[in-house]
Amino acid sequence: MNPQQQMLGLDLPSPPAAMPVRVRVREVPPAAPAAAAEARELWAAVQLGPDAADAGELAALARRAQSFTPRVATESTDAVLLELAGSRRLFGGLPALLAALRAAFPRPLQLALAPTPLAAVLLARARRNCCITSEARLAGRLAPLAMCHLHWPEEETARLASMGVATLGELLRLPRAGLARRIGAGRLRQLDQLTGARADPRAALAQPEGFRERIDPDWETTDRERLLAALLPTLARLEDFLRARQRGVMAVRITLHHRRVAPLHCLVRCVVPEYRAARFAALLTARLEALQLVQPVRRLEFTAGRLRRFTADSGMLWQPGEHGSGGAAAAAPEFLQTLLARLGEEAVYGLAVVDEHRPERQYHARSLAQSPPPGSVGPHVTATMAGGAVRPLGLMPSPLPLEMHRDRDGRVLGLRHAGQELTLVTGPERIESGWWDGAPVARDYYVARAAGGARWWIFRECATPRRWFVHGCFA
Amino acid sequence: MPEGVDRAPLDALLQHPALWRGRGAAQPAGLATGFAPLDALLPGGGWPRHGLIEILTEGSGHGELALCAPLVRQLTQGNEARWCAFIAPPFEPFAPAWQAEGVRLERLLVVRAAEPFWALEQALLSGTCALGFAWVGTAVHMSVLRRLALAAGRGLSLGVLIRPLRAIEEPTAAVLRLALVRTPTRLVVRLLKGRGISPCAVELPLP
Repeated sequence: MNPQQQMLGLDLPSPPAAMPVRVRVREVPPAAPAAAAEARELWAAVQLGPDAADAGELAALARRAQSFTPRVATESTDAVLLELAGSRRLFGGLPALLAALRAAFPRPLQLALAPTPLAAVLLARARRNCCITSEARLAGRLAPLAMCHLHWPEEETARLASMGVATLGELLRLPRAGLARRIGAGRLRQLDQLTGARADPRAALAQPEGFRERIDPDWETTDRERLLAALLPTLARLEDFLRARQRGVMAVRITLHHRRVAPLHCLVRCVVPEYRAARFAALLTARLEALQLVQPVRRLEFTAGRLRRFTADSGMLWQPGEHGSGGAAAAAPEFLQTLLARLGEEAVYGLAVVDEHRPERQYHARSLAQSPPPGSVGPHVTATMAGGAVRPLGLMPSPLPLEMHRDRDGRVLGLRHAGQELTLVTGPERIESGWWDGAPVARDYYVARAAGGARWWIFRECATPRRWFVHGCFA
Repeated sequence: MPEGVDRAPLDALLQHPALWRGRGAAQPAGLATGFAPLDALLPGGGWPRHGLIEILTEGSGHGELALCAPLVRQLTQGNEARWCAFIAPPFEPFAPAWQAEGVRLERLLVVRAAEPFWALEQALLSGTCALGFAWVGTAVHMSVLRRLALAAGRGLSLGVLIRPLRAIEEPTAAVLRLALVRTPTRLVVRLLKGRGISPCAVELPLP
């Protein structure tokens, strides 16, 4: 074998002259590192306390970790992994990086660094807050760790314990072939990844993306048209940004900076995820029209809300309302967004029924800005109502006191509403409820007819002073 | 018409949809009002399918919504029903009562706007709103009413303006104008204006 073949690791058996040459490529073992050589990867594991396995907290940790490196992953439900080999120089060397990490992840959190992600997690779980940078020293540090940190099923650990394996060192010392038979190839692969004999690729968590722009025009103005014109290029870029990601946003915010007064925030919400620049422009027009600009605007900040997945609809052949335009109702009601943008969320709402007896609590205003599109409204509630009871189609926001005519003894002789005498038509229907929650109601309801013909729903309090109120309108 | 003349070709011509014959002519079928005596009087046998309607009453409480409740029920039924908007009502639409009328509440919408005409135009024009009620006063300019009528035509929606009786003096672009008077037992509907009808009145058994 010539030296070149040796270098390439090729092993050529000397074949008989007539046979074709068969080339066998021997697997090249991972380059054996010198004892002091540093590993290619450096993983840090940040582990939550054993009793605080909270998904929200983990996500917050992962977000914080993303300021150190883009390669952030989570391990089971208790640890966040950061690959830091690329960040060492950025932070000015390993000691500075470690100090920054400790500052970002303070004490109750366990922090361990190792050349492989699994090893880092195990060390963190075992509360060994250490930093191992070379693979050669890894096995030694892993050896004393108890088997339980692997988070393998109870019975497997118990079986290994019965074989006399209590620590990782004892496990790793076992002959490979027998071990594969006992614990399975999958577990063996895991152990290889632990020691670095096998690669352990981790998918990096996606960075939350956002769209934010600052517009510094060379003028100051209170003119809304001009403001909108300045925003249009940003909206076009937003559309490109969202299109490229096949995402939409439910809200955009514009901050208008003035020279002296505090900046004005202007939030525009959509009912469904939206991406079209023209649509945002229409919503912003409506929103800006309703805005009171006291001072010229000198700077604009534009921030799009969280990116949301949405399914783009295909266009409609039919005009809305035409025969066959079944999608008209299901499609995003754009007029709703326009109304919401201009009038605000308090001024545009849906209706829902509440299971209650007190009329003023039997309904509530359903927010349209955040609710799912109609058709997917939650459980169907039916108002509690006595059989045969009449209810007005309109209710006063709060009962209005009626004018009462009294005789000398204080007895009520007649009632007037809006200057018209009232005559009782039907009633009374007693509604008595709510003594348990601090808003007790005890009323006798009547239907009353005004002299002009209008019907009102009126009531008298059962308790003194037994006043009369008008509560509803049979519109 | 003399005896022995074959009427069939003439009848066939008169059935042409492009031909409008004025009083008593074939109208596009309307939406049933839920009150047979009223259906009999209305052109097309019910509420128009789209356009602007004016209902004049002396203040609230005269049955103006009770008269329209069957229409709201009809238009909010089905999975593909469009919205029904109440714009600037003088009270809160009482959800349990509407539910008792058989109306699908998810399709109702309340709008509190200082400019009811703008909100109504947006709703009517959108095509995703089938019906819009708006409470407006007197002294409404004819151009505003025309604009609303056009919006209703384009969005194939029905706008209902609820106005005081005094508005009877003002011209209107509405396709139908009614006045309501409530007696102790009945609701008297006076038809003031409509395509091909002469002013008349009908009593409905609305309690």
